[in-house]
Amino acid sequence: MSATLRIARAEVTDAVRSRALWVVTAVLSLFVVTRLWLYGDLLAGTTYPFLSTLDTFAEFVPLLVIILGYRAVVGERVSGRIRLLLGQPGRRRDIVTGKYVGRAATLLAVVLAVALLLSAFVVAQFGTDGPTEIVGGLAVLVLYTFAWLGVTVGVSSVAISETRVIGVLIGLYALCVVLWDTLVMSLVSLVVTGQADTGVDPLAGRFATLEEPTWFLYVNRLNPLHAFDGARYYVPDLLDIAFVGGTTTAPHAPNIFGLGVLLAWATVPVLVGYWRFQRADLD
Amino acid sequence: MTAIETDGLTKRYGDLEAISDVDLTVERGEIFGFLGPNGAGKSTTIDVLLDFIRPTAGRASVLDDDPQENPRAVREQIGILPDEYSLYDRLTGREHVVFAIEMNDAADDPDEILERVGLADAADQRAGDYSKGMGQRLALGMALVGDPDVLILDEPSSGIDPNGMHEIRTLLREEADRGATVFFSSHALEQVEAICDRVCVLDDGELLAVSTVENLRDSLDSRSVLVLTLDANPDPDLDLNDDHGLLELPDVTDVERTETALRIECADPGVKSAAISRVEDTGASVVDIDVEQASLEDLFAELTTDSTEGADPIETPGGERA
Repeated sequence: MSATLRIARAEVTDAVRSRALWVVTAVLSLFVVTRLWLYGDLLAGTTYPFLSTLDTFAEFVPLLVIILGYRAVVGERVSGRIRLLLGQPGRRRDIVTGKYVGRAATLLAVVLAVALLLSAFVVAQFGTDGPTEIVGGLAVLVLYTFAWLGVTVGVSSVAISETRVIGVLIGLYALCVVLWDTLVMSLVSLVVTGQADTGVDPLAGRFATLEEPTWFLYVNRLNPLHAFDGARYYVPDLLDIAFVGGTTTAPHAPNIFGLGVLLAWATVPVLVGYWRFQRADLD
Repeated sequence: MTAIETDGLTKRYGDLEAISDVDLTVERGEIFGFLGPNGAGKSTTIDVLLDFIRPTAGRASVLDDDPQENPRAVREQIGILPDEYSLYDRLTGREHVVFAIEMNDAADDPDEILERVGLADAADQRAGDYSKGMGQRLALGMALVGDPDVLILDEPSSGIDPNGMHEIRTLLREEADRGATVFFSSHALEQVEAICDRVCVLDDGELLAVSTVENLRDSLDSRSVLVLTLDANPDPDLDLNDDHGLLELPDVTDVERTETALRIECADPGVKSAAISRVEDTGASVVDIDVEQASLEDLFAELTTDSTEGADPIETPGGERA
């Protein structure tokens, strides 16, 4: 077993025994179940209720990842545990990768447990989602979790203060969740079309199948929330095409771009973070 | 092959120079004390050896490997007890040692390690419930895993009671007997002198001297000060310049008189009783006797003065003067 996996395993053992993990999991479960109970009637009218309910995770996963992950590397530096870890044979790279893998394992266990619970409820109640919707939806959820984990561990590897890490991450969350449609997209729209109004009704249909305006399809997917929004319908369609035969009404290019965006969020920040961490004085 | 070597090692933080131009050689198999007051730069030096921080200038090597170029090779051969570390609060003592054994690909028995550091009874307790001293023992145990060739210990005595320190010294001697090099820092001479073959003294980022413990102790003893408290009913005609003839005694280097006390600096501790009789012979009544042991700080001050004024350097058999 590599140093990375050993550090990851110590991480997981430590996390499983932390009260925070169980509290957060309980809150998440409660939130998901409550939402299902409140909006169950709306779901009954949709084609794929499970894929629809996954949007619960769009806003919740980043919060979960930030809460359980922001200390990943910076916490080790602040507490000094990094000195204990680096006192053992292993490189700084093993710290970053070990933290990433360890937190990923913990977070995926929580997210998947809640999502599977949710899928069981939805299938029992509506029964309209097939295996490709469930598997595809869960796969996209995993990728989406990794996207937020990548940026969280990346920021955590660069900063030397926990407050700054949490500040940057909450700022990013606010940008993606609160300010994106009203501010970012309006600004981009102003630059591209000359009008602040994007001309797209955010509630109109499935974002995945939207075909224009082209700039909107790509810029909007830079936000992992929207990339997730498209991918959770697109990937099940791909699975259908591959395994049971079928077609998709979703355009390939912007949706594949969206998957690339999620992959980039999962990897690029953590690589940059590692690059900076590698050169830092740990004192 | 030297165990530890630094060459012109310098670390600056902005304008602040934490260590400057430190040249140090620790031979294999010796127990080497790294002595200096808090803030002298001991941890900075050790942090460079462990590649926690990178030097501004100069270089360091551990067993001929550069920690910065080859951190993994260095860490595989050494055991580290760093300062300001922290443990996994929710992992037990045994889990910590097992972690260290796995990281080192070692074949040690975790219980044997825990036994050696005196934690056998607390093996299944979570480290979060450990006292400072127990945590320190656990970290030391983790450092012992894999029989490292070099042990680097930063202030191992912190948080440990005197009994515990005795056990730890025994442990370090065992490690040295097996052939390991032991390098440890301390701000307290008594920790170092009980075990070390050689010591070096670091103050304000500069290496002042490398010496044997005996030489260091000699120069400390030579600076003991005898304080005599005299009759609280002072003579109205008191002459504050009256040295009671003490300066005629050989080995009395200085006398300071206040209204109720005499501070007598002795170059040789043996002169103390003669000094007391001399004072009593002059008719003064001594009501209390106190000996101020010269502190390490005094020694550091003396060494600093030596190096600036070019006075007699401390003898450094087997070592070299910084």
